[in-house]
Amino acid sequence: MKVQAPVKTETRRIAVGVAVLSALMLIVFVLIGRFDWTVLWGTLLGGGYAVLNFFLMALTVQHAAEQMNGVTLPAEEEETGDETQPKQKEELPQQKMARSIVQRSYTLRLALTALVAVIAVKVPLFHAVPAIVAFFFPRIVITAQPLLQKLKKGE
Amino acid sequence: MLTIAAAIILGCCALGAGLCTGIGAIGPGIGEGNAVAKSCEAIGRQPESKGAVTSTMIMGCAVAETTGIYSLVISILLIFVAPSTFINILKSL
Repeated sequence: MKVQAPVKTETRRIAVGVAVLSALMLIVFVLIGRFDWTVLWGTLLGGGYAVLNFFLMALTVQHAAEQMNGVTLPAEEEETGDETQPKQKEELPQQKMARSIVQRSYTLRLALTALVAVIAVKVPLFHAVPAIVAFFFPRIVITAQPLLQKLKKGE
Repeated sequence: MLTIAAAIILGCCALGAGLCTGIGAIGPGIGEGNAVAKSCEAIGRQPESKGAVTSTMIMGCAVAETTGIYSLVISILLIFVAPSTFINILKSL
């Protein structure tokens, strides 16, 4: 399966954001005097897994979107204003397939996340706190993106 | 007495952890599935917008997934951190 441009672009963006946030977290640990090698390894484990998880999710979404290759639906019909009979739309088999692909992938990735979290907590080589905090970095990057774009535009 | 209390604490923590991840993972799973199914419909209607829809879908799925990770972290805390904390509190009483 060829990795498409949107997947590459978004993963690169998330990876850069996670790297920046990881560096910030390490600086915070140094400033509060709690830095040691386990913090660094924990950050690498958590940050690395966060990016990997995002990439796997993006690949799954790409695979799900590919289910619609060669399928063309008619453009949406205009609203007639008749609300008495709600439209009952049947889901296409491709949509059902896409839904099941994503849900299966989500279950597997959640299990993998649990495994990584248990490793981070149980193995003394890793500090659990930075490893688990790093799982949330992609969300922070996504939330901060519109703000960063506004700042870039100078609004 | 302390042994019984510790056993109850351990049992409740394990039960809470299971319920937390079990219930917390339902929402993102259903939400992601719905989002992707509807996005597929959008791609079918406008194949030229596939790239833009895929990008938005990836971001939406990542955001939806975070709640599952929140519940997982709470479960990890309940399993590995909470029992010892509660038992220490119990011992200090």
